[in-house]
Amino acid sequence: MKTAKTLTQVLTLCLSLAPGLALGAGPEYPRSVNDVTQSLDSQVLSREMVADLLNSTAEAPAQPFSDLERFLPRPGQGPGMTEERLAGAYTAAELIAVALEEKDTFPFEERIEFLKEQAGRIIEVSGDRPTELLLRLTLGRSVDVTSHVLPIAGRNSAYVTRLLANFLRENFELAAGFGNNPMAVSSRFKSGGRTDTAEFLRKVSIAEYGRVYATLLWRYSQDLSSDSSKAVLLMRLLGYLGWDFNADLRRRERPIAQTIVDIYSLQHGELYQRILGTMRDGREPAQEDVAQLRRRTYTILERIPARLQSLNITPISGATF
Amino acid sequence: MKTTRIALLLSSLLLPSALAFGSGWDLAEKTKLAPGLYQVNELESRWSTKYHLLVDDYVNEPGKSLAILFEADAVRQRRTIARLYQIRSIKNGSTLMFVPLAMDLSGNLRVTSEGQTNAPVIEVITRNGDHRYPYVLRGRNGALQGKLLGMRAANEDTPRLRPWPSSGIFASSTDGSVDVLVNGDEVSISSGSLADQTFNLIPLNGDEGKFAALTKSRLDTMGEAELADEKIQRLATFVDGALDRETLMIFTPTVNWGEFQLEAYQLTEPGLLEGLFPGKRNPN
Repeated sequence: MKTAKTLTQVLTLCLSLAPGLALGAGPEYPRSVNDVTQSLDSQVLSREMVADLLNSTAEAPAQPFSDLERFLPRPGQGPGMTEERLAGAYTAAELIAVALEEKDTFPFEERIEFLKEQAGRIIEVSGDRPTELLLRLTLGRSVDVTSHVLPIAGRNSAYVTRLLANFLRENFELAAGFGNNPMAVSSRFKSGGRTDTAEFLRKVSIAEYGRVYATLLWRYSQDLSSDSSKAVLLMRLLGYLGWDFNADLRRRERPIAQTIVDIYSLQHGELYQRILGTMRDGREPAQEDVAQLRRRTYTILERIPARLQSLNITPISGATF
Repeated sequence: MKTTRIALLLSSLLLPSALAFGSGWDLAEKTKLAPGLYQVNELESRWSTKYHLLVDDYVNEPGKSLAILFEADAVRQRRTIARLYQIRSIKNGSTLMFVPLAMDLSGNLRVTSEGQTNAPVIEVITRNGDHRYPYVLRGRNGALQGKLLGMRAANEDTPRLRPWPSSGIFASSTDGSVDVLVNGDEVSISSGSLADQTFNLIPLNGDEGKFAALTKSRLDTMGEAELADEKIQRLATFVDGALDRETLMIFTPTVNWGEFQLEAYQLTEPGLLEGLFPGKRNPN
């Protein structure tokens, strides 16, 4: 009953979304650390978003509060106007394969721009297909992360360019997996026949997707770059994870709610705010603080598999922590 | 009487700030290893040197350094096992931790302590005074197989690590055949007379950095561009000073996490470089 109610809220919200949220109409890429920290602000789970979990009498918010909403079907959104879509020549998954092949003909700097551009194009081609929701989400995030880490790369530019090209490649490969094989998303998901978004979201756990994406960011946050870019990447990870868990249809189940509360308290805690404040002042965060943030993020990630398992949520194959 | 009052007043003014320093307003200098070559040995052994540790600053963050631990006769042996570390101060700057760097399956270089809570790290114990070994390396979580190693600064010139060769071009050869040729940001490693593997040299931490990442590359003749792969295959550094001649160290990951095979190539003698780029010979 509760699930049905939340589901109705999801669909109501989908119907009321502003069309301007499409990837192409997003904000300009940041040019300074201040822009980066501002973008992190918008990712933190707000009190309104989790009010019903913190206070049992509060109404559940209209779901979801995440970038997921950008990739859900929108009213009046017919087939895209791109030539590929009109001709039906390429599916989104095929376009990813083509992009991965073509990227090797560009040097690193151009390769990043090429993949970012392709991500937007593929999202457009994918349109409103419910089964490609995670594909769109992954590509959208790959562009977001790439755009928010590069500006604070400091003196590491050549190396970070390579790192980001590698990051985009892995995102495209992950997205291709979601596009080619919806079964990979959940063994309970039966392909064939028409599936609507509600059906998809019932079968596929967005929380489990959040775990998969968090493990990808977690690996990249261990690289040999500066503490500030590591901190930004960890904060991004927490932001996405919070959004994903909060957007899951089972968010009121205790194992998922516990993770939401863990993330909420970390994001609103002194440590997180101190690191954010230091970066906002244009300074490098303290090594000890970044280490603490990493350790606490690890604790949250470590608990997730057992929690999802207790809800019988099947792990997406291939994602190791 | 008046003097005592002034002293009291001064002490009351100074006291809060003194307390502040002790309670987290960390202005004290953190423990740090100066860049240079260090000799490392098992504590109970004689004076002979078993390992060398090369330390240089990490450009991106002033509090950290990078280090290579390798066998003392690595240059003579050509292929040996080595380990790479990021050195960071821990425990409020009172001690140093050597964190192994490892290459992962995605082709990125990872600081292992950031992915594991029990990474095999080395802790440095510093002893004040005049000792045979002012530093003692102590393995934690299984590092160094539980041995204690003594370390002291070597009586050598301070080496410089560079991601590029000092003169733009670098060649090394044995028995007349070229093993390695570095030209700008391209590294060709040969077996016999075949230049069969080409890598792109990407500085790890900027042009002033110390290490370079090697990624496989190929020359697209139609697109007229050198195209590199995103995944790091190997690491490299050019060591100038301390090791007789400029030496190129290439690190290839082995099957053991955090362990690298070190190939050390010394700059070829001037006569051999001439052999590589011969001038016109007088037929007479």
